[in-house]
Amino acid sequence: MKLIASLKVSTDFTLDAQLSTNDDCQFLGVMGPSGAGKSSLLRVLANLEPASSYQCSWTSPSSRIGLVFQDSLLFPHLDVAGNLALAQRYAKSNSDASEIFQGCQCEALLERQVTYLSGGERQRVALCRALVNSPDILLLDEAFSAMDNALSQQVQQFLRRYCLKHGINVIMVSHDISALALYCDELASMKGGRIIRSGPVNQMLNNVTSDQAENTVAVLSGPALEFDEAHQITPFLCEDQVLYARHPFVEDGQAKITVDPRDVSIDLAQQHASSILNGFTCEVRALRPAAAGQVLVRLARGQSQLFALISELSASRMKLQAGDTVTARFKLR
Amino acid sequence: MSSVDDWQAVILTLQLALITGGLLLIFALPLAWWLAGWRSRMKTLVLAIVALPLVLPPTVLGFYLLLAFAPDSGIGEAWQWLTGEQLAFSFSALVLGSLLYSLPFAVQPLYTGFEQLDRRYLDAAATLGMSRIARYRHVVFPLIRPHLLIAFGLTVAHTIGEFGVVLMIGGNIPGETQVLSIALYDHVEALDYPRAHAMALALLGFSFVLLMALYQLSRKPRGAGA
Repeated sequence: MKLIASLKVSTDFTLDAQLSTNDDCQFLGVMGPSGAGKSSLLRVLANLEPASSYQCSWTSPSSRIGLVFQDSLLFPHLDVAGNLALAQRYAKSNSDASEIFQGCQCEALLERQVTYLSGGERQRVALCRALVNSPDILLLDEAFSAMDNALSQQVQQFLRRYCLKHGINVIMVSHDISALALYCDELASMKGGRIIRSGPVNQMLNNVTSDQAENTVAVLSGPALEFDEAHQITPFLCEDQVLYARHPFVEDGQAKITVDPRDVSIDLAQQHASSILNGFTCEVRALRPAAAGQVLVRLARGQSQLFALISELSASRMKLQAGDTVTARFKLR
Repeated sequence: MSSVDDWQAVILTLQLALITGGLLLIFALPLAWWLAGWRSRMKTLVLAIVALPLVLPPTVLGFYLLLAFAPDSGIGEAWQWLTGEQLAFSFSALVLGSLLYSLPFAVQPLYTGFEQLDRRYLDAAATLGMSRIARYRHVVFPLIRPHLLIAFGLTVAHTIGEFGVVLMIGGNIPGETQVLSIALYDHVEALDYPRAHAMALALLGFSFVLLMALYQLSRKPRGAGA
């Protein structure tokens, strides 16, 4: 995917985004602070800004570019079924509506008036409306922000499966770095209307700087083991160690979770009586001072890497230094 | 004046009101849409011109229209050349006069409707692959439906109540330009109060019912308006 987009938004803000990804990247996540130009980028790509110019290697003039807006923008004079029927009527090709209704969990909402829907329900209907319209490219602008965590994960997992199956390319703008890390193939970071960094998810997350410590996650993945029905937990193997998760994202037998650096504690003892199930033995690779008297500790084992954000006091009491072997503990999510 | 003339006046008035209401919607829709999206200092000037008939005495408008429609004026001459008929004191003159006189009653509600319309709904419709016409049909018109009804109803009601302009440019020709308000005036002049009463009460009742119906129809459907 190659992407060049430009737009003069105002006298002091110009969007000038250029990006190129690997050929197999189908899900691109776009992150960045508010006002970075993420929504403007999506509007340019959706052809909604007449004064803009863009080139995108996936699009041909006949490509249908769907956009799910942050505010959903469901038509208020129609009920949910009416909104979906209108999108189907103008769809480029037939889609499996019942699969989409089910995946977006909209089946029970069909008869409802859109003005009486909650924010999360609206977002599900908006996503459903975009999918039944059979887009070639789907742009998502904070499309899951009002959904609760469990529901958002289920819908996003469905979305990824559905888009992979039907060859729909997705550009996803979100502040939820964890969702981007789980469901995207590559990430792009925007600032001041430009794409400042981009690349595969792991590469982007591993090169995190200490000032971004509060807004990053690590991805741990490996073969999923049999679901533990009794404890409602999915174990999986990561670097030959068993880790546990409540709702990991499982694709092609590989389980994937994200770990927030603020949730990770470091333990020098290998055996430890703790209620925290996940203990990941790894090596300290680097310590970098972070904001507010904290230290960002980069931990790694094999190809896997994670971060721990701990206080300077802890680090100095433990005499922590690069090369130490420690156990990183983090709670089950 | 016979009761046949009275019925002719009723029919003529309804014809005039419906034609004016229909034509004004056609003219006022694009004008109001353009005005609502127009960002210019000149906008207040155009808004003031459109609203002029609201405050202008009808006789002022009627007087200038009479001059404009006279056979020796440019417009009158052009009309005669095109249709072979004189414009002043004709039904066509009444329609043209009513269009101008009722213009603000059509434009104002539509302008308000378009101003309140969140145009991002059109973006949403565009991303669903709707053509420009489909966007208006499925999104814009249904969303401004209450304003459309009010514009049409007010124009019709206002045209029915027209007096000054009609008197100036239409005269008082039964079956051609004699509308209800003029016929009523005739009855009063002739001291025929029973028929004047009948006509006045009928107009009063009709206008009241029309306005009631309008307010009822233009109420937002349950749940709409987000």
